[in-house]
Amino acid sequence: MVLSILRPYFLAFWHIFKRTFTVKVPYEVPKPSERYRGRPMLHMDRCIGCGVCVYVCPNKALTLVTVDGKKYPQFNAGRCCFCSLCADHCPRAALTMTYEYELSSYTKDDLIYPPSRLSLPPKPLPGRVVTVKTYDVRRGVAHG
Amino acid sequence: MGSKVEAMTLSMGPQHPITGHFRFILEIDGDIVLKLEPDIGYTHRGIEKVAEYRTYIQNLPVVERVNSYCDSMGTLLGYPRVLEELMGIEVPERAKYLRVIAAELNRIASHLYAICLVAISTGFETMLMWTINDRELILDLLEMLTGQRITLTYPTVGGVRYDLPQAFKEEALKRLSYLERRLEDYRKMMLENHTFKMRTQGVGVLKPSDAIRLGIVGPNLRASGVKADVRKDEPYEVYDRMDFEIPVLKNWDCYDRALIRALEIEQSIRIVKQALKELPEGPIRARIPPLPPKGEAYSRVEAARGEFGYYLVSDGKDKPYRLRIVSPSFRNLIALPFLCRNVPLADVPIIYISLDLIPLDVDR
Amino acid sequence: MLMDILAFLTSPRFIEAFLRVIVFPGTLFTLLYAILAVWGERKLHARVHLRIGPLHIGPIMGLFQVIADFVKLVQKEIIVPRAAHRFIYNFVPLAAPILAAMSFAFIPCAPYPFYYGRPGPPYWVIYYTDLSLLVVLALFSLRPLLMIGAGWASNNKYSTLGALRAALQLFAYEVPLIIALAGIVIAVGTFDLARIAESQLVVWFILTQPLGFIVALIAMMAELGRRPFDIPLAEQEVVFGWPTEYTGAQFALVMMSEYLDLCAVSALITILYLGGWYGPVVPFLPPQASYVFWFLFKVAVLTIIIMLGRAVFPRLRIDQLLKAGWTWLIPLALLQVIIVLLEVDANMSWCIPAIAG
Repeated sequence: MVLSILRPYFLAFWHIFKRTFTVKVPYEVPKPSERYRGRPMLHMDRCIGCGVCVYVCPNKALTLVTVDGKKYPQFNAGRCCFCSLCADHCPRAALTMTYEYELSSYTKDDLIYPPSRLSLPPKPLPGRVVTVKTYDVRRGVAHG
Repeated sequence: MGSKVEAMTLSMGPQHPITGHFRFILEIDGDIVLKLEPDIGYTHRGIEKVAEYRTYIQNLPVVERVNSYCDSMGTLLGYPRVLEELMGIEVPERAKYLRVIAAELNRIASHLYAICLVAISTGFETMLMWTINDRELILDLLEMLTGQRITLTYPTVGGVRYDLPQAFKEEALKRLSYLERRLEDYRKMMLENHTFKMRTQGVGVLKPSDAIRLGIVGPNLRASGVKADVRKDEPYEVYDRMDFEIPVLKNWDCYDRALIRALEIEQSIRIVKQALKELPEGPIRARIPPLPPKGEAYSRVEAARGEFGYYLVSDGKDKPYRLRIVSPSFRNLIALPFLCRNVPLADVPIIYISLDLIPLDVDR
Repeated sequence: MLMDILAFLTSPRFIEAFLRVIVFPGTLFTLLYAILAVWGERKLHARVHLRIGPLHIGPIMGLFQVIADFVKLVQKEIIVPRAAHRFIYNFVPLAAPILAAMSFAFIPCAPYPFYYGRPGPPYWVIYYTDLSLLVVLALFSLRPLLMIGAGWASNNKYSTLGALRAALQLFAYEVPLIIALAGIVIAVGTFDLARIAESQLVVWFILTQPLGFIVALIAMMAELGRRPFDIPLAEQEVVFGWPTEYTGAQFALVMMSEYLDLCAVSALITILYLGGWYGPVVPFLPPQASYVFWFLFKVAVLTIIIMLGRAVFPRLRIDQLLKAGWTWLIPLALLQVIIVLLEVDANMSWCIPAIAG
């Protein structure tokens, strides 16, 4: 019984000297993977206006609007659930998912992305990008 | 004639640091709880009805949101399976192995979260931080595989949506071996901790006969001594080719329910390592007909919390006629008023959290 | 008249009293200890949890986080519930830190280097008395009364419940504490804390009375309200215990009193069991300063041990806590006293300083 009281004490004491697990967001940002499903990006030259993305979206986040006589999808960031069904089912791969996840805005109208804004490339990440570098039970997991 | 016991009614309301989004109405007399009545429905979203207004493909993210933050694969896996059973599709081998890998990784993440909650309920912040830290490593793996950490939406009708990336196998093996060594630390810190044992042993004892009579499912049932697991009783995907054990424990109390989750993490690590080694080549999706035929089908999947069932009635159109979701936490909820009779007030959070009830699962 | 006042103010006696009351075992030291203890506890727990803790505010490692929190708390509104008993409700947060600091005033910290040839205590202590151990224990016994007062005066169902449980726990754990300390008093033969510390020149009491040390440490942790004996302050079912209704500066004072108590308890156990101010010679310091250094070092080590207890154990239930106190600690303490009496009877002078000299 004494051992079961003292052992956690020593274990906690050794943990003081291990590396911390913290990633100091927003100065350091964990690296999103290549397949990260953030905001979709529209390639206007590839879009044919078929409307499959509108049909397959569960939350009606995409609607077709007419720009210069052709039809393009308009994106509502307030309704998107980031399932990427639209990007998977697009026949010309005109929609691709990017790593941008900071989509908050101050007004609700700002959440609607017309096709011109939807085709902008994603904003760069705000801090230094870190990943997990070493796994050592003795020294702890290091982010670098 | 005796004096009437004056009971005070206490409501541990929907916003409470321990209960999550549940409401309990307790009748307490001094320090002893006489009766507990759960009042569910705070997070009811009507997903079964919403599913009737979406096509089968649109239903994949919707149904997953029943319980996505703990155990997304366990929640969602039954839905493509019930459609495959209805349409008679055979899923390719590689897709089956990938489904098993993702499901077991999600089971590990969910059990780590359950251990974290058991630690908070006793006031043990250190275990909370450690388990959440290690859960981050598993969620990074899932992000590498699917693109999202908790709302994976990984299986689809006929297979899976993404294939394994290049660096996945060695990353997974590195992280899983780190996790195996960390489980030793958890054992020394929490499972052999004298105060933790004092707090959880002998509390909330659920006998096997009572468990079977009440209809408990999942790790709670196995911690009550009954050897029942859908992965062994009706093997689906490739579980019949995997070599793993079902732990069954003998003391039937809250400590056992915490212990069995640590043991199941070890078994899940075994399964993932075997599946990664035996992974065959091939396609990851099968061709599916555009509409399902008329009929009904039922599928069972072992999620992290128990048996997840889907019952689908289809009338040939592109939207389901009726989708019934049988969630494990709704089945386990009945154990809570049964166990919380004449216990001290301080034991109620421990019993509630050791049963691993997620309010989202209960209310759907 | 003015010259008399000026002469008094610059006399060595006044400067010495000023130094003691304000600087070393007085206001500045206890406040600095409270600030460092709160910061240290957050950092320590963060490292045990593998995270960082306060980071941004302060020159290095978030040192001024506590001051920022204190300033934030002080500028909030002080709310007195309408049906509360105003006098006691407002009195308790003022009395709690004063009580804690008062018990620290009787504990001698180190021998005093500047001895001006006048009758007085040659120790760093604010008030020297022969019965300092008794006075400190008596002041510790007053704490449950403050908690009951606050809980009742708040006029809140949960505060009253919490206050009663707190009082139950504290009263139950004073008995093994006093019995264990009786072992030391029998061994040394006096209640004077300075003499108890001086009698540990050769061997510390932790080695000759280990049972008593363990009992005293556990009982002190229960007296403080530290995890695993956390029920007074942080119950999760009844919102916060006895200081639920306090806001603003009153809440800050209540929290500060908890850490001032920790200071007094650490210093007390250091003097009683860990050899007070004796230790090997530090190469670069004169011997008088090395006494102060070793005292502070031992207080810091004991504080860290008590703080780590919060990271390592879950919370005990009230009936388990009381049962542990009555069935385990009191027999152990009695056993310790019996061992000390047997040693006195057998005239073993190496562990009973009263016999040796």
